Amino acid sequence: MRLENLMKHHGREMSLSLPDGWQSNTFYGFIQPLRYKNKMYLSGVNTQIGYNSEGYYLYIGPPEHDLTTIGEDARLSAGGVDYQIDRAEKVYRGGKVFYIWAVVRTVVEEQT
Amino acid sequence: MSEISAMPAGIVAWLGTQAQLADIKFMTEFPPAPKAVPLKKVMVAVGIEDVKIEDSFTANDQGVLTENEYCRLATVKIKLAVHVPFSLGGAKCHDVFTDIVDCLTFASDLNIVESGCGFIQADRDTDALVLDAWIIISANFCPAVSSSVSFGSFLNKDLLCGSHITNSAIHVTQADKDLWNAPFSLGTYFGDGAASRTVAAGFTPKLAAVFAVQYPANTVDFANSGSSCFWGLAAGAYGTQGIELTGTGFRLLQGSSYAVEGCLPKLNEAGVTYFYIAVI
Repeated sequence: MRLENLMKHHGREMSLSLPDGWQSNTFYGFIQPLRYKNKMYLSGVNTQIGYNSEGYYLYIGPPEHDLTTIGEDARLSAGGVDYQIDRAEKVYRGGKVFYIWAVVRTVVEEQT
Repeated sequence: MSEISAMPAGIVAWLGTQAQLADIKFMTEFPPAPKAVPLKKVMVAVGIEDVKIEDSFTANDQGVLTENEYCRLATVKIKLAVHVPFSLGGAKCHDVFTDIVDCLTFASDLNIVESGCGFIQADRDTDALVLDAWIIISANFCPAVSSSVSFGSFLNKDLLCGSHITNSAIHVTQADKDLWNAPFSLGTYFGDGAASRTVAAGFTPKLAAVFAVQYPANTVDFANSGSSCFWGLAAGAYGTQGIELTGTGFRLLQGSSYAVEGCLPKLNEAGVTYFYIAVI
């Protein structure tokens, strides 16, 4: 199975970046919302320091872009939205990494 | 009591101007704004946890408590929710808490009577280590007394202590302190010949003494079988010839209208310099 072809055909265009200016080439993957069945709350949570939309998403991307080692400051950008990587794991098929699974969250800049 | 409800916003605004707390973002609790994701900065939410309003009483000279009809004592417990990013560690929570309390205690006009904190908890909804802390502020509200004082900010000393400052019975002024260090008034005046004149001491004297500089206490006029008196002493409600105490100093009398047994009081003789001492 060529997962890369499937992602290119059906996935979204995205890229990775680091605070030091490094940016990956464009690649294709899937980002889909995580909702109530995943213990997320549709309406978000009002906290003492502001509204947290809890915009968590499931990421599935190609093994060439290893989100498990890229660092917590890395940002995933897709469709003009930045995501931080909360957790990432490799999913294997046989002895080889088949795809990268991650939970990502919408980045919200601090209000001034 | 709108000053109490405005208190968190006032504290937030004030803390936000303090240079030593520049790395901390302050806000009133549950602001209608998105929370930063990820959390990078220390954030402190300020709110009201508890308010107690009590009647105000003052002890009179006999120690009997009398109610201040238009005054209320307020005890306001201000909540400080210190949110520190996980990466900064729990010790940062205590650092921030102590910095804030130090700043409020020593740099603000708030009358902080107590402060404290609970334990640190990790909170997934805010990505932060959260320390719930509090400060207890005592305030004396006397609207009737301090109606002329601006209530624009609860951080204004005039608000929290307005009833104290405007109450001359309990507030000590600089003039009061000066009197403590020198509880008397020394001075001179130049006689103008008027039958009566007053000298202000700046307070209500208990004792005053006056004498003419370089003059004898008394002079005798043998030709006219009379005498003159150039000095005077008054204490309380009594005094020698020609001097009496007033609420702000003392009064001097001069001339034949006030003669006693042929002796003229000359405590305001034209061209004569007089020296006085008044004791509070």
